[in-house]
Amino acid sequence: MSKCEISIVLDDEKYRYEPNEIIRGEVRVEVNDDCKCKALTLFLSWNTHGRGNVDKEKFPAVTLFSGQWHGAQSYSYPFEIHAPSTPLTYRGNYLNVDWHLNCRADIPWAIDPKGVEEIVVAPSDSEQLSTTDTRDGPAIGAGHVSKAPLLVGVFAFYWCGMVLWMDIGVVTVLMFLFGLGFAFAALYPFFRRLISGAILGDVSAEIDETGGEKSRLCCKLRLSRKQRQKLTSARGSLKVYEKVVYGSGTDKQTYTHDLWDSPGTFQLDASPKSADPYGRGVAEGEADHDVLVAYFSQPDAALPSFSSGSNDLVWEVKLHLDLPNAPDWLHTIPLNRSLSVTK
Amino acid sequence: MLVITSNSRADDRPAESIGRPFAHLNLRQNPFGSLERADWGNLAVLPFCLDSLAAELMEKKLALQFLGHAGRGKSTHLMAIHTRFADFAFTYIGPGQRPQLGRNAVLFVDEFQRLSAFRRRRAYRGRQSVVIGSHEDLTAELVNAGFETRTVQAGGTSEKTLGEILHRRVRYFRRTAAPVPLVSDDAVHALHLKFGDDLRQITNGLYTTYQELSEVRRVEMRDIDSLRR
Repeated sequence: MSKCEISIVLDDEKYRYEPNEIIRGEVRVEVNDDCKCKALTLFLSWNTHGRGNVDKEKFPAVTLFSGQWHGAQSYSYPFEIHAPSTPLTYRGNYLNVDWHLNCRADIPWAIDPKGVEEIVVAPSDSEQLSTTDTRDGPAIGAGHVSKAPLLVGVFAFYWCGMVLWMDIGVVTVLMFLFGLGFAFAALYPFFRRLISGAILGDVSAEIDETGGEKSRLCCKLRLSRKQRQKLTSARGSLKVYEKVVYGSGTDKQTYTHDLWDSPGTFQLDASPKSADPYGRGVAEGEADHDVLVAYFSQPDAALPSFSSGSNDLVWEVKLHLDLPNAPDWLHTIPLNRSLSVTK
Repeated sequence: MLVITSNSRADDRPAESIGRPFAHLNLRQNPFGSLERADWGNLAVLPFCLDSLAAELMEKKLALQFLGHAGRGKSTHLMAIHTRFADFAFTYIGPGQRPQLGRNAVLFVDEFQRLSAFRRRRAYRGRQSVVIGSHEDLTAELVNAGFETRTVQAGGTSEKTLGEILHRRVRYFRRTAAPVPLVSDDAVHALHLKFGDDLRQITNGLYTTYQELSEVRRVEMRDIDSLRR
């Protein structure tokens, strides 16, 4: 039997709290045997559970008591603590995020007794969440190309060259064809990005919730007349998915679970020039630009963005611009779905 | 690296309806999800007494190696023993890694065969005991290093042990004394026939089953759709 037993009792048996709400309750200690408590501490912690590796974080502890406890007695220590604002409690398929209120008694020369109580931290309705663009500005440059496929492709071409020095035979021809196929496969994404970027040039994209309307996102593409004439069509989609990693090294497995996919087609914005969400005025020469607009509906369910070591709940908009006789222009814009700042 | 994708629309559950996780099954979480290292000690069904083994590791110059294919429980055994030596480092060696192994009296390393023979010999120096998971039998070099060597072949799990492993896992996450949804004996039999000792495949399938289970009842083989596909 341990020296004491600890339990956490929340006021009114409440376990659901809004972000930053005050959590009230008391820690009850049933002491079995005389003992000295170096510190009775209370702290909040969150952890993930589900398919991915467990991520967790402890928040700083507050000390409720230190001193002597006497056997066969009960003690109670009331507390007030602010509910956290992030991450929000989430229940999904591969990913779950949960909060706990923990209490631990530091007893010298004994296993520390502890008590845990689950709490849910969520806004009263998903209307309190808003979606924002996480980038610093609207410009999407043409030149962000990963160098890794380029290196692999160049090495594959080098391999083809080496094979050509060998005696011609069935095996060397097969090795050559394998190397050539591998080189094109590795280099295709690189050249696709390079060619489409060179044809289209820099593009400006802005994403915002439409004038207080929470149910859909508005994406505006700002293109010059010249750029727009090069397009056959422009479309995009809002995607929300869980992405978790289980294991490490050669045992590593990545699981993704799609939660939301809302497609939209860009159309020429016929409305008068709207205010720029990034605070810019209408620049000189702006009249030479066209604005293409697409709307993406947002899910009703509370799906707050989340990112930790092995577990992510991802919000992003994928853009897809069709160019005639050239590879399509593709780009992904990361978004953040969290509590509105105004709340 | 394996990438697995599934698909479903977000449910229309509003934020205010989020309750305690898995309370409808009288569980604290999906019992077949990922575990923290601290949980392994409580969940592993071991073929030896953990207390006496822990004492032997501190008294004798003992080497304990766990051999077997992926998903058969090597790491589980290793982590279960490590829970008794929580102050000592536990090292997983990824491909191409050469981590520092520290100077603890008992060495805990998973995927030990990934170190070169030279580095392994250096790692043995000054150790009281070593506990390793490996795909290669390293008995010869462990004996040469002066260790009394024991080899545990992970895998070969019997139907009875499989049932015990699955039930222990479900009961571990029980909320209250009320019933929990255990896997039926028939389902354990069918799982053992189909997947043998590949616990990883079995738990992966059961994860999906428990994720979709809506009430406390025996889990039958017909519930385990993802394994039958």
